[in-house]
Amino acid sequence: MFARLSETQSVSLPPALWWTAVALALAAGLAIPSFTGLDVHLDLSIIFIFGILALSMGFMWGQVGMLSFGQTAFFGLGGYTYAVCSLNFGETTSAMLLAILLPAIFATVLGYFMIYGRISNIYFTVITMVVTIVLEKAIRATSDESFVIGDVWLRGQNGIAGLPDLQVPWDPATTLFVTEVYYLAFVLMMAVYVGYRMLLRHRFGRVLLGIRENERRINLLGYDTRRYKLAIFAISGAVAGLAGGLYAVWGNFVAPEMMNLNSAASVVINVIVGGKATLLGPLIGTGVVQWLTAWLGTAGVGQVNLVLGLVLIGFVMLFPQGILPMAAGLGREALEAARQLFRRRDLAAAALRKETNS
Amino acid sequence: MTPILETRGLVKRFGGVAAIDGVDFRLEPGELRCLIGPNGAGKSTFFKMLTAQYAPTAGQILLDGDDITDEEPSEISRRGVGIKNQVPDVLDGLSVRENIWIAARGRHDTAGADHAVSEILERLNLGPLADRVVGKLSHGHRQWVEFGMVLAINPRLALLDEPTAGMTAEETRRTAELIREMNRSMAIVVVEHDMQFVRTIAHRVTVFDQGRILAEDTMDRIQVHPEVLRIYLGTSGHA
Amino acid sequence: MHEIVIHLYQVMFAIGIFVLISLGLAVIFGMMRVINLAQGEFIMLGAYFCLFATQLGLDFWLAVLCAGLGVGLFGILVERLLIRFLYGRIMDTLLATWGLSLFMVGLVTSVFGPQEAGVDAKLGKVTFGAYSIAEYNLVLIAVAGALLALTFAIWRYTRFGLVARSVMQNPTMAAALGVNPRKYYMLTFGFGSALTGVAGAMLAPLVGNQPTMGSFYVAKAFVTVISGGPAPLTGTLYASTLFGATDGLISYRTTQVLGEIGVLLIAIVLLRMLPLGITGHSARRA
Ligand SMILES: Nc1ncnc2c1ncn2[C@@H]1O[C@H](COP(=O)(O)OP(=O)(O)OP(=O)(O)O)[C@@H](O)[C@H]1O
Ligand SMILES: [Mg+2]
Repeated sequence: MFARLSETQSVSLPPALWWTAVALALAAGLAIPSFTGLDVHLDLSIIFIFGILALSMGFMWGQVGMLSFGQTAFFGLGGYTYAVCSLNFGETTSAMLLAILLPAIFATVLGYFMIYGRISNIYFTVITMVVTIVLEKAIRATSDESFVIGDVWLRGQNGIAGLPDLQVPWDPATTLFVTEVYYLAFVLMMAVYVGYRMLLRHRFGRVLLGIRENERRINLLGYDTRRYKLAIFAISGAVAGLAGGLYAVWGNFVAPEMMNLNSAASVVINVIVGGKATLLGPLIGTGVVQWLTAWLGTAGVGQVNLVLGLVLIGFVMLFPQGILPMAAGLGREALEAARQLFRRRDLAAAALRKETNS
Repeated sequence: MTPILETRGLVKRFGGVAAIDGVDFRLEPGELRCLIGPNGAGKSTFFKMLTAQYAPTAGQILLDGDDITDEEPSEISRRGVGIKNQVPDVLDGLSVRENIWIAARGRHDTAGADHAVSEILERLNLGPLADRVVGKLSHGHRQWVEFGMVLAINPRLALLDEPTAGMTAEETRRTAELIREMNRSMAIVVVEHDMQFVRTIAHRVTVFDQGRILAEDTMDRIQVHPEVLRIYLGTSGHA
Repeated sequence: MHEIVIHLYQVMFAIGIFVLISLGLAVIFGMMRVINLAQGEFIMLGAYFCLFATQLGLDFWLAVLCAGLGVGLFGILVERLLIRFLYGRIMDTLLATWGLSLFMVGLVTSVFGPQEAGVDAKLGKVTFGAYSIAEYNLVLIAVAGALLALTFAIWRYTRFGLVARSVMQNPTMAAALGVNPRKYYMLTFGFGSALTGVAGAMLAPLVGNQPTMGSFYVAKAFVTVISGGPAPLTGTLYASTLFGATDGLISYRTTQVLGEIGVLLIAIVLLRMLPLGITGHSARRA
């Protein structure tokens, strides 16, 4: 039914091909643990978790035109929610669900004020950044022993360590260990990717694309764009919260650094390096940048900030499209060259040329 | 009979300039009206107020007798008002098909939207361009795409701001045909500068000048109206 | 009675801080529509200029002047190397200046190290009934007021201000009249940076200065300028008054963080009601 609609630039691969690619990626990802060690599982899991976070930002930025720095705040909120709830409840399933729900609610309330106030996109960006800064400061200010939620002391700067492992929902006695966390993070990342991608195929997603292109026109077509923007902000808040909850599970630890400006910057850098136009971009970018920062760390470059800053400036000024579209552009050129070589005449194109000339 | 559209004492000021300065306008259901007037007369501003793109400084807008002055653009659209703005107002980064589909999907379910899209693509001869990105098309073609979006929401009242600008003579002829055809199922107001075109489609013509209605009559009488001649030809007339 | 005066002083002091940290941004963002996310780091740079100069034995007030000059020149450099390629691309400017802010934190950390350092302004205290007030804080309030008045006067009454305003409103027209708009963009950016540098230097004796201190100010500065709305200077004054009063009262009675949260909440609710900011409905720009 959508076959005809999907053959356009915003959703580029034909569905059959795309599903095949997803299946292959899924198979590859699930196969990796059987021939790698725990350290690799650990390193890859965190890339998947940051990949989810990058998707939550990249979707809104690239597809809807809303650049939210708040994703890091939702990420931190998700992590802290998992920490506080799992320690209080002694049970992790509801803690994880709340780690998704609470950021979504927070995003809804915050988004209501911003979106229904009709502040411009640029103010939206700045306000989400300010909220992130203030939230981080608020968490940092909880060092005093009086800051307790239930039985859990928030511990300010120091963060909360010793979080319980994730339990299997139907079998709380069994907990997930490193490799299982890998599987969980990987499958959830794929699910988020596929979910966002499916969203774009349906009315809701199409309208979001339309908002990116021309919000006023979409209003004039009878859609109340504020509802759409608020909805996607809430959804992406939930996704970022999920990433935060997973992060807490991955390291059994949460800290205010989860939501500081450097974390926010690295999400933006992940997205812009990969390219925000596609959903694959944020994932690729996360992989590349994580690998790069790890390498910088081992190479003894003391000031990672300095390098990340230069990377960000460089990409904004020189490669604003990111590396993926650049690669795709090269691919397309190669394809075009091959076409020329075979001198295949595209009948449709000829008809089109006729049409435009008349 | 309740007019489909009525404005009472409509005023819009931009800083000190009154772009619309007390307009009382009535349109009967099913009517096809042309709006003419020199550059800067306030025609586009009037359309934008009718669709809540601009909030009025004063006055009232009624649709089927309901006061819609304070409604949102999306609400007015859902009441059945469609607009083609003067500058092509389309979704530049998306394909022709997607543009029209998004418009249609607001009024139909998915299957219905798919159906409406193929129908409109055919009707507007946009088939060969269906999968092209709108931003890369010519001005004329983008006008057609916007036309397609108006058709796709199947309005009861269509506002068309200079629909033939940038079109070839042949396209202009087809546009006139299309407008007459659309008029069978909806009321239409068209802003136009091309008098020949106005003559071929309109029954009644309203003349705007300096934010006010200067005259309203049949084309034949408008053409010999002294005030209208004065603003168009710059002759001092009898005034 | 003393209680009231001391409250008044707290509020004035908080307003003064808000004015200081947002005035430079009001010039850069409010007038040029350039989002400089490195605003906090420009403040940090001002503080470090002051720190460095006083360590060299310079008098504190001369050090403040140096900071203004130094950060102003740095701003001009940034405008030439970065900002001027991005005019009209507001999102890209935002991202690039964010990169700049990371870069500056990294750079200053590698030169001066991450530790805190203090500056002494060498001023005493005045006692007031049972209370004692640092003289320096009173001077700071005066300086904030003076800078605001100075900026306003330059903008309003000097040839530079007049031309700069017309350039910001209509660069093509100004260019047609023989003005070089690029020069005015550069100078205005430099002017805003200099104001920010002075602010950083003025804050230096009040806090522990460290390379990451910028993030303490950037939020407040942006909230103030955005809430102020389209008339940046009067807007900044109104917003600073509102937020300074809120922050001063809440912080004084509870904690700084609660003060900041209070400011943010008010700002968000304010933007829901007045999306264009406090001065969004007044016609004149100043
Ligand atoms: N957004 C705006 N801000 C300030 N002034 C405006 C704005 N829009 C329109 N105007 C002014 O309002 C007056 C009417 O403009 P409008 O575009 O409605 O005229 P028009 O009749 O559509 O002219 P044209 O035939 O050239 O399209 C003009 O003087 C114009 O300069
Ligand atoms: Mg017009």
